[in-house]
Amino acid sequence: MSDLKTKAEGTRTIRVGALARVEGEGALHLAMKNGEVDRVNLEIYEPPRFYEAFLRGRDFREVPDITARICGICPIAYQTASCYSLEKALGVYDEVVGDATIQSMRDLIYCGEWIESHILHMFMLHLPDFLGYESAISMVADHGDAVKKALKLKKIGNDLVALLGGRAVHPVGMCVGGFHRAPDQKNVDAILPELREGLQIISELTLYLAENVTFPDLERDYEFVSLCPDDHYPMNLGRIKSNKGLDVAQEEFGKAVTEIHKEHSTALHSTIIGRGGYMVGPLARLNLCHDRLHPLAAELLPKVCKAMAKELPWQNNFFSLIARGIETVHAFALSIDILEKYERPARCCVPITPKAGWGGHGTEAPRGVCWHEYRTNEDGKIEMAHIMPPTAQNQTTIEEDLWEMARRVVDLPDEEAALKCEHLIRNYDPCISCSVHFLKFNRSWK
Amino acid sequence: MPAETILVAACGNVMAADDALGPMVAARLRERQLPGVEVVDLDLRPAGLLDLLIVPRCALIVVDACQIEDDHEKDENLIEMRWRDGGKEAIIHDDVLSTHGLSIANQLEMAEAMDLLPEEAWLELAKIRNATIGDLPSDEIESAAQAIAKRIEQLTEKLHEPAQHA
Repeated sequence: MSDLKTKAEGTRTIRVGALARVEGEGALHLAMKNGEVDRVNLEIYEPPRFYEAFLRGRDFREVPDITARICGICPIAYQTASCYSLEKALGVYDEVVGDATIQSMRDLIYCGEWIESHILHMFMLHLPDFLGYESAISMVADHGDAVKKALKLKKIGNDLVALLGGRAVHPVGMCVGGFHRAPDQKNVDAILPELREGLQIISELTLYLAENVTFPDLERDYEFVSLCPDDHYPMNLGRIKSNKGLDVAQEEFGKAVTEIHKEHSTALHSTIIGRGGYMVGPLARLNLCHDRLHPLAAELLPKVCKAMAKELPWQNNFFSLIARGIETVHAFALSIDILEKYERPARCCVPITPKAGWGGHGTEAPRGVCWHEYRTNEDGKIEMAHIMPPTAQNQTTIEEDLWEMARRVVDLPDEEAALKCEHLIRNYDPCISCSVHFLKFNRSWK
Repeated sequence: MPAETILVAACGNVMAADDALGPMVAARLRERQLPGVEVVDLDLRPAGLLDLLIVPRCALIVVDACQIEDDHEKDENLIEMRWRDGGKEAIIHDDVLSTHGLSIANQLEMAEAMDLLPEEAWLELAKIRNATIGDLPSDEIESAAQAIAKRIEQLTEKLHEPAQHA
């Protein structure tokens, strides 16, 4: 929907409301001066800072279920990051990480979240942009069967989350120290055939998209940041590294970046100290860790690169559509591996005695690194909580991308320019969870 | 899930004042244990509605809170409407019903386009004024949740009557 208004001579303001394919609220304002881009503000509102305040004084056991409510799409990211951070603070991290069963269960539930979130974004939020549809509704009229296949995949992701989390929406199965209970064998056996079928479907769909989608040409010299474990694709564990020399232990990440408040946004803008904006998310993970993909995803990758005529590293964030596809293949294949070896464990939680301590840890949300830190007192109550969600970390880089895009669309009509900027923002699958549901586009001319 | 099941999908945020309507209604419906009715609390993930519709159902009832800026029917706080009847475009707007990536309205349209939407698709809504995170639900919304649960009980009884499906 658009609302075009011509204002005073020399100044033109355009508002485009109802961008329904972004999670939460935001407003984009482009200021043009003498035909050049003068200012780019992506105004977003992030609620996690409220959570940091009301976590104080809470028992450590409450934290995973409270932080899960920061986001309806990626509760597992908030649960895993808070659990690992608190396990460090409470002195049981090594025992939890050393327990292969707990680790595989955490990887498995995360696979469910990646599948659900990536499929939602790829096929219902982002793909309409690439195929030239105004919305997912208009796309469905022509591609209903493909969307039905995607819904089936998404449901498998939900089922995986429910298998370990007790329910798909705001799962409650994970706890500090592990899980409240392990899945029954019969439920594991029931989901395996669906996963095998889903793996086949997503492999075919990803290759189809690589072969048939045309991507806008916008390459930039990004600093990609992700967890980089030595022996597997990033998800729960590993040092945090970049393609430009960042290489820190998990606990040090909070000191490597700085969060800046800007007047136009309630979300803090993250930058790497001494350098600048950086990108987290599927493109960063794939570029930095593609050699650690599951063998079945690794087998697909060269076919995809050939179809797109682009070798890694990909510097074009519009390719994140395909990166999500590859990661979804990885998540399906990894889930099958874990469940084929599954035997119901005698225990799935490490006992914890409350104590004073501090811990910091990030895990890979579908949108990128979600980093938490907590300080507990001797009773296990939270004294300090600090959360860096991925969308806030990406905000500086989104604005830098928009500068580049704004230059390229300066001659286009406002409505068309707005659509291209919105398409670019959706590359990041921004999760701007809050109570109002649209992005307003505003470009003024002087 | 058999096709004769009625799906009740409730949306809302229990931490955001009167936006808690959906989960409150879902809790009351679970207490009633209505036969042939599956109650799903979509909570903060209204975008999960579409996933639920790939399983055939005989009817769908969506429960949600809505905020309407230019409200011409100020006395009518509870709204029961059949999706396909239309006529209340101001209510079935992306900005009014819960969204999070895909709005309820978008998903109902997509489901209809893919022949996934049951013939009987209903909205049970309550108009709210406060969805501030951290605020408690008002007394009015407690009453509204009770009233909507009662309405849904009556509606599901009607929808389960064979003559109503003809």
